[in-house]
Amino acid sequence: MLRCILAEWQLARTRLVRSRLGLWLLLLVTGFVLVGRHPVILALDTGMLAAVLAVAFTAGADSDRAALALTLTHPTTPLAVAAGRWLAASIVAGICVGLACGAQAGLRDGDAAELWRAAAGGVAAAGATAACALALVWAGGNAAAGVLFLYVFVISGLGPPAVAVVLGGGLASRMAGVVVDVLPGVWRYARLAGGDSGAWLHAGSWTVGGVAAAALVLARRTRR
Amino acid sequence: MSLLDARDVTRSFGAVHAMAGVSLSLVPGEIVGLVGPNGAGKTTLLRLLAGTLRPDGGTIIVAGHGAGSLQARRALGFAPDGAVFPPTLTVREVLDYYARLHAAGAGRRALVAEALDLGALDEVAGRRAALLSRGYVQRLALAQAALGGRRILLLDETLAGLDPLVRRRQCDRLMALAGTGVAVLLSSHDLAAVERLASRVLILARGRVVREGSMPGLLRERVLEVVLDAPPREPPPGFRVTVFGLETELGGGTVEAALALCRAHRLAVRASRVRLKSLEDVVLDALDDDTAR
Repeated sequence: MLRCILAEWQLARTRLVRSRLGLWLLLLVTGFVLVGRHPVILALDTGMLAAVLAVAFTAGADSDRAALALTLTHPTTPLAVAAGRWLAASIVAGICVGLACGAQAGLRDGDAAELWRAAAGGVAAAGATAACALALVWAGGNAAAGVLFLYVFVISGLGPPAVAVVLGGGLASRMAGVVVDVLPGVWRYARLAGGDSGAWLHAGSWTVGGVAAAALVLARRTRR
Repeated sequence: MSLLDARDVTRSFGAVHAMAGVSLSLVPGEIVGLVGPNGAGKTTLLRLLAGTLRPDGGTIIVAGHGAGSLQARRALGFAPDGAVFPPTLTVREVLDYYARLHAAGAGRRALVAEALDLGALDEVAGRRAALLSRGYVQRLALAQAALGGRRILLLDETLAGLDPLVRRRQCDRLMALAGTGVAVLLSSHDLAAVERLASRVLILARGRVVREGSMPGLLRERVLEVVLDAPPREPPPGFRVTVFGLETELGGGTVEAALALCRAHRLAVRASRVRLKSLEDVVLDALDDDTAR
């Protein structure tokens, strides 16, 4: 099982250098560092958006999804493939968080302990977002990854009360509030760095549940 | 003892009965040809055996385990027609990626080297899989299917798109694999290649096996070809019109009796020859019989 999980890293490694993934991630990290946001938000934005990009480039393309059918004629399992893709995307996003926090430490004065806590929160948020993105792209392709990217970048910084205020009440507002409450979001994961147990539980649930959901989607797609 | 055993396998897609009660078995070291017209159900059958489709009914046992199980996938390799590989990987990396699912360390590197050799892929080992021509894709599909010393190979049009020289070499490699005890089920429209390779043939039409048998058994009948000066208005009973004149299956009859029948119909016979039936004759006969039923 572990060997099968680790085999998936090869796909992420080649995507970093042979596709635009590496360039996009570099631009993402540079952009957020230059904007000079709070370390917690810097780590979260970098980690979560890098996770969505990593999943989109390593698992979301039509050719990647088509190739999964052949992979599963070999002795591996949908869970091992999903776990491997999640781990690879999380490692890529974790490296981005490390680079962003390292650059932040080098460019600006700040509390080292706070930066470490922010980085840990960013990595955990990246893991949860990668799992969510994986389940979505295997069900709906890279269009779903695009929607998730926009959601994380634009909306997920607002909590359910803020969404209700923006949308002005009503059914749509309530539904949007539920979506923001359930999906991985910057507003909730900003509390990860402070050790909030609810936020850590949410991130952990998404990590485990997202990988399991992705494995189920894959199993249904490849053995009908 | 059979490596693969399928009994009364059925599968429908909506109202279409793609597989209507097919049974087959494969024993070690044999190459079985799977032939039939487009839409006969060849690819569906291979996918059912490989475990990528679930049967509606019937049983499929692969090396003592249910089709699609982890143990079955260790024993059975599948080379689909038009296989899709991870697009940014090179040929060597594709094989290394799949080899990691079978073995680790030096064993994995040995598997990759063997697979490159089997597919005759050394010259394109550094080329990206997404940029390969169809022939190389088919060779890579065969190479990945055989990875890990699998004992059963399901090959879907693996010989299609190959130039004659490579095709001959691939046929030789398949025969060498069969010589080591690997059972091969080869689906192909290339009847000459199937005739050369297979020891047994299944002819599929409309999701059913309409004829099967050993190659010598199917091809033992003699055919008399008659070359005529002019095309006949109507062929004598039992004869069919061909581009050069007529032909008929001799069955228990003699050449003299058949030629006498031609002369009795006032046909000017220029030449004649007796040959054994080809697989193409057998397939066309089987499909004609099936249509007439």
